[in-house]
Amino acid sequence: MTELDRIHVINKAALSGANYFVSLLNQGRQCSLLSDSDTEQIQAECLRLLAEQTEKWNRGRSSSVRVEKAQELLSSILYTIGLALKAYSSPEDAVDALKQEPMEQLFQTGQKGIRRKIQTARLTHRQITKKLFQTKNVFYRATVADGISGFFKLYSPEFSAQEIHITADYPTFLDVADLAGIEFIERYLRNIAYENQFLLYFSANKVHHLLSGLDENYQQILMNIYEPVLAAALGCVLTGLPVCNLSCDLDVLKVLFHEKSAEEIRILLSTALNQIVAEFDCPHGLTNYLKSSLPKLALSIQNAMRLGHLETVILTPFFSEAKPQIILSYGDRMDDREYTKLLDELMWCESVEKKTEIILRKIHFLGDLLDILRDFEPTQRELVSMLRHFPLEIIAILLRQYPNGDFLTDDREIVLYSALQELCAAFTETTRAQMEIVVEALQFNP
Amino acid sequence: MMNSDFSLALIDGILTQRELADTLLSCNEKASAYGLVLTAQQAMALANTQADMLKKTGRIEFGSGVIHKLILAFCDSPYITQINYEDTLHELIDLFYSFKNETLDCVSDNALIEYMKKEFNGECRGSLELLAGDALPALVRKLNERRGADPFEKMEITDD
Repeated sequence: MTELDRIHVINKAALSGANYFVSLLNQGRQCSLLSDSDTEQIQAECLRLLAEQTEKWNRGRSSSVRVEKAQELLSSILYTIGLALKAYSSPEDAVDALKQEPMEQLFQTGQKGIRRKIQTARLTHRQITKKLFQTKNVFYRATVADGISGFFKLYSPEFSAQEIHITADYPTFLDVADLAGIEFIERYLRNIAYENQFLLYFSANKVHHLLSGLDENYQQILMNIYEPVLAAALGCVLTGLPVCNLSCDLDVLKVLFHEKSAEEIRILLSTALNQIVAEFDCPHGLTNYLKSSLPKLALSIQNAMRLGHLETVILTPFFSEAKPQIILSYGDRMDDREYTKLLDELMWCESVEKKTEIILRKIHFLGDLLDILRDFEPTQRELVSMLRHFPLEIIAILLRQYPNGDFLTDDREIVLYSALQELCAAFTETTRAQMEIVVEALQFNP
Repeated sequence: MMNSDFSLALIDGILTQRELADTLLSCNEKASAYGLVLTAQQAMALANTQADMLKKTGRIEFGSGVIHKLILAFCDSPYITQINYEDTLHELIDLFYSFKNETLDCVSDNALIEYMKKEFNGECRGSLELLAGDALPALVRKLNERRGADPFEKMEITDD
C-alpha cells in the first residue's frame, strides 16, 4: 500500500516525540487499530523484555531490582522500540508493525538505530569541535565541546537509551523539544552545527564586541550567541551597512519595523536573509536553518519594538577598550623589618588621627596599604574614622579591591569591607556617582 | 477497556502467588531429607511475605524469586527443625530483601544467601537476632569501608 492509498486515522499531533511508543499505543487504541488483546500481548512482551534486560543489567546476579531501576530499564525499552517505530512511513504502518512484529525484534531494530545515531552524532560533534567558533562565553565551549563529550562517555544505549545524562546548558536558538536520549543529542548537535557554521562567517572579535553590547560580562551569561549575530547581520542588510561589521543603524531599523506585524517583519528579514545567503554562499542545510529561525526572531523584534527596546534584540557593538582605564600596580613591598616596626607603631598608637597620619606618611605602595589595613586589626569604627581622612582616590581603590563581601572569609577583610560600605553610605549622591565611574575604570595589574 | 500505561504494577501478573507457592512446594523433595516439609498453606504464606517484602523494600522481582534458593540453602542447617522452619523462612526472606537494599545491590543473591547461611550456622549459632543485628550489619559496614577507601572501586562480592 502506498502512502497515498493509506487512510490516515491517527492524529499525528497527539504523538509524542519523547514517548512515541506509548503515545502511538494510545492513539492506536483510540482509533480502534489495536484491540485489548493486541495491547495485552504487547504489554506482556514488553515485560518479558524487561525481565531479560534486568537480568542482563545485573548480569544474572540478582532476581530482583529496585523499582526505580526497573522503571528506568522499562523506559529504555519503550524508548528503543519507539525509535524503531518512528522509522515506519506512517503511524498506521507503525501500529501494523506493533501487531505483527515481536517486541524483541522491534527492540533490536531500535538498538541498531540508536547505534547508527550515536555514530552520526559523534561525527557531527567531531566536525563541530574541529572548527568551534572562538568565543569568550564559557558556556559555549563547556557544553558544546566538554558536555557533549561527557554524554558519549556516559550514554548507555542498552540500559538507559532515553537518558542524556548531561544538562546541555547552552541553549540553541531553535529549541530541541519533545525528544529524549540520542535523538535529543542528535538534534541538539545539528542545531549547534548550523549555528556554529553561521558564526564562523564572522570575526570572533566583531562578535565579541557585539555581545559586549548586551553585557560586558557576557562571558558568564548563559545565552545563545547565534541569535544576536543573526539579528545584527540582518539589521546590517536592512540598513545598507556591511554585514561583516555586525554594526547596524538602530534608528533606521526602528522606523522600518514601526507598527509592523510579526509576519511583516519576517518578510523583511527573509528578504535580507536572501542577501546574506547569497553573499556568504551558505549551504542548503544552513540556509534552511536560518530560514527556520526567522519567525522566532521576527516575534522577538516585534515584542522589543512594542516595548520600545529594539536594542535588546538587535545589539549595538560595545568597545570596552574605548572606556577610560586606570591600571594600578600593587607596587614594591616595604622591607619586612620596616613593616613590622610600622605595625608595632600602629598597635601602640592610641589616636585614630595619629594612626591615619602614620599610614599616609609611611605607606607608599598599594600592596602595603592593603596589608596594613588588615594586619593591625582595627575595629570597624576605628577604620571608618580613619578612612574619612583618606583621599577619595584611595577609597576608590579600596572599593575596587573589595567590590562585595560575598566571598570574603577573613574577618579582618570583612571589617574593612563593612567600614568602606559605612563610609560610602555617608557620601552625597554626586560623590557616589563619581566614585562609581572611577571604580569602574580601575584595573589591577597582577 | 484495559490500561495501556506501562506501569510496573503490571509486573504483578508475571508470576502469581499461586505459581510461586507451587515452586516452593517443589522444594519439599530435597528439604524432606532433613525432616522439613512445607504445607500448601505455609508456602502460600511465604509467597505473601515475599510480595510484602518486595513492596516494603521498593523492589521488583522477575522469575520465581529467592525463597526456593533460601529453602535449598538453609534446609540442611542444624538449627532449623520442622517446628521453627516456617517462621525462620519468613524471617530470612525479610532479612534478605532488607539487606539487599542495605548493601546497595553490590552483593549478588547467591553471595548474600551464602553469607547469611555461613553466619547463621556459624557465629550466630542459629540466632536470627544475631544474624540481623550483628552479622548482616557487619557486612554492610565492610562494604561501606571498601567504598570509602575508593569510591570508584567496583563493589562486588562474588558467588565463589
